[in-house]
Amino acid sequence: MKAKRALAGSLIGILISITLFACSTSPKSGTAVYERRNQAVGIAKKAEGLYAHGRYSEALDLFKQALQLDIAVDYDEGIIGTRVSMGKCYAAANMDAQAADEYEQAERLAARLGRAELLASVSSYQAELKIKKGDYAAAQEQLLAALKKAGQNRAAQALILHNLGLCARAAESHEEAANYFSQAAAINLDLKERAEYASNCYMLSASLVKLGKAAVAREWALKALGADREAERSQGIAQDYYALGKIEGAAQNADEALFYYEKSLNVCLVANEADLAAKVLAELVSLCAERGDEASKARYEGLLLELKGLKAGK
Amino acid sequence: MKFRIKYAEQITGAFLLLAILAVCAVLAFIGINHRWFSKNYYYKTEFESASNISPGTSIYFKGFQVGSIARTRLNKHNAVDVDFYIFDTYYDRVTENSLIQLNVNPIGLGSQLVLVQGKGIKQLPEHSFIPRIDSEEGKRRVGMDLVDVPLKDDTIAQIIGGINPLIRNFSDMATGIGSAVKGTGTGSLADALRSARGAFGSLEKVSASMNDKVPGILDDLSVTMNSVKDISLKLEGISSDVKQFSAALSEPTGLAQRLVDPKGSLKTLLDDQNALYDRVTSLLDEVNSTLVNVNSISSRLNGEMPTLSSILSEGKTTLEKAQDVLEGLKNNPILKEGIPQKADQSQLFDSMRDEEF
Repeated sequence: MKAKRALAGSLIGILISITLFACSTSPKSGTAVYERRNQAVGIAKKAEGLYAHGRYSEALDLFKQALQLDIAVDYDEGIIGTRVSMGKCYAAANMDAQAADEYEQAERLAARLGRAELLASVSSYQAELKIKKGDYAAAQEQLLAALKKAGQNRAAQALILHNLGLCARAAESHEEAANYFSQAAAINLDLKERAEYASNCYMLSASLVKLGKAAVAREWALKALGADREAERSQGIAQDYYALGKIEGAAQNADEALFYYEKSLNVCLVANEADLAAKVLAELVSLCAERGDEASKARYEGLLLELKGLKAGK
Repeated sequence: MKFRIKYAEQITGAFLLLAILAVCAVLAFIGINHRWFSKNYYYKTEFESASNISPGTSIYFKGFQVGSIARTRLNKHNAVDVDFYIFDTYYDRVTENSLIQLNVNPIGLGSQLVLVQGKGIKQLPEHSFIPRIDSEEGKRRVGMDLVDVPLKDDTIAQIIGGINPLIRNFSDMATGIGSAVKGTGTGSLADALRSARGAFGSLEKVSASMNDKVPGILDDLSVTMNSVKDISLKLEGISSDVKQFSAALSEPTGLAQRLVDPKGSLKTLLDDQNALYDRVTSLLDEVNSTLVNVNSISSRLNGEMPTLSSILSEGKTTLEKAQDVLEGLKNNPILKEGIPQKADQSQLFDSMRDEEF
């Protein structure tokens, strides 16, 4: 009888324990609210998607919305990130002055917060503007300083290394450039940052071409293409095909080069990449002339003229 | 620890018995309602045709159902033998000399079989033959006043029955009018016609006396006509004066023209064959109709404002509730990972590419 009572008591105890445990797993009330902050993050994600598809204006609008939300809830890290992203949008649209302004505001806030890793990434983007201007020495100096600040921020490290590679390439130090790009590619591969990895591979391929290593360059260009496909980055795909066309053209593989250039052109036309399309068309005209394909040459010339006309009209 | 209920089998058995009893009770009630346990007393009758007397047709007495037809069959004389029964509760109403009457609605609204009670005191034994009211035997019994023939309670039949006395009344009235016109009748109408005849006689006498006086009246009338002629001549002179005054007004230098410049705006505006006036009138009509519409819309809006306000208020409340529900769902640990976690904002990483390759 005692045993039965003990058993019943144990069962009741277990039931009470389960009930209490279930209550303890329910969400705690009174915790901080991140609704608007998360909303801002969501909007920024959408904007990044638009940026990846080359829709810079629309991306900029969304980033502005995200910035308003970040400011409203006083989310400083968000403000820095959004301003940097807005700077990238301006830079992509060749509005470098506006880009510099956004970077500067982000830099000030990051410095105020004492966030070295954020400062590092901002510095890297500022250096990009200097690279665009051709001020490679100043850019390299800034990047080397930023690399020290990056700390454990591996994404920022990869970005800085990539930009250092660009500076080295500008200084015709292709071996050094390839080294930087390789390091950056390794980090981004590890971080599974496909689009960034594709950019590293692309530039590495370009450096290898300069070093006369066409076969290896082709491999890296194909890796870049694969990564861009995975990231569905149209601009990157068009650039990768263009690079492959150049590599095959240099290797006298006219058919392959023609194929890659045509692929690149198709993507450019769909993705509205007018500048690159003009370059690809110029290559196609030249290639068709070499092959004696007058009809195709005339067609590409016509397209090129039309494109130039459109650009002039714009 | 094993849980069990004491007397489980007994309780189950009790419930089972209760259920069986309930079913029996229900069946009993149904049987009582359908007279399964009552005795019926059967009788026979005969009809010329089986139309309107199918088995199951109810038999009424004073508006109550007292029985029903059990069976019909065609006999060897081409007549229809009908077996019917009377409920035990009305068996005592089936007395000697009773008859059966089939009332068919004259406008096709069905039929009714009626028990016509005989005036005898003796109760009619079961399986007796009860004749129809329209059979020779039935007519004989009615003629001898051996049955208590009921008044028809069919409204339509009553109306149709009431038509005959009405027609008779009309006929009497027409006869009376005819007699009065002939002068052989009596009553108010005949007296009035006789007075009228006297009045016509007096009128003839008046006409004769008028014939003598008419020449004098005609002479007086001639004098009066001469006076009217003089007045007419005077009126003609006045009319001429008025005409001259009107001509003066219509002249270019006349009074009206001096008041109104013939080339002025007023003249132009007014002398437009009512175009301006018509336009103004139509505009005023349009404005009036517009104002009516605006007034109507305004009053409708005023009427709908509380509704709109309440709809908006309800919508807002519903949205708030829906938001609460969604937040609750979002926070449900079973559906998701509880309260939304803090998301960190990343920045855009996009390494530059040298397009020159």
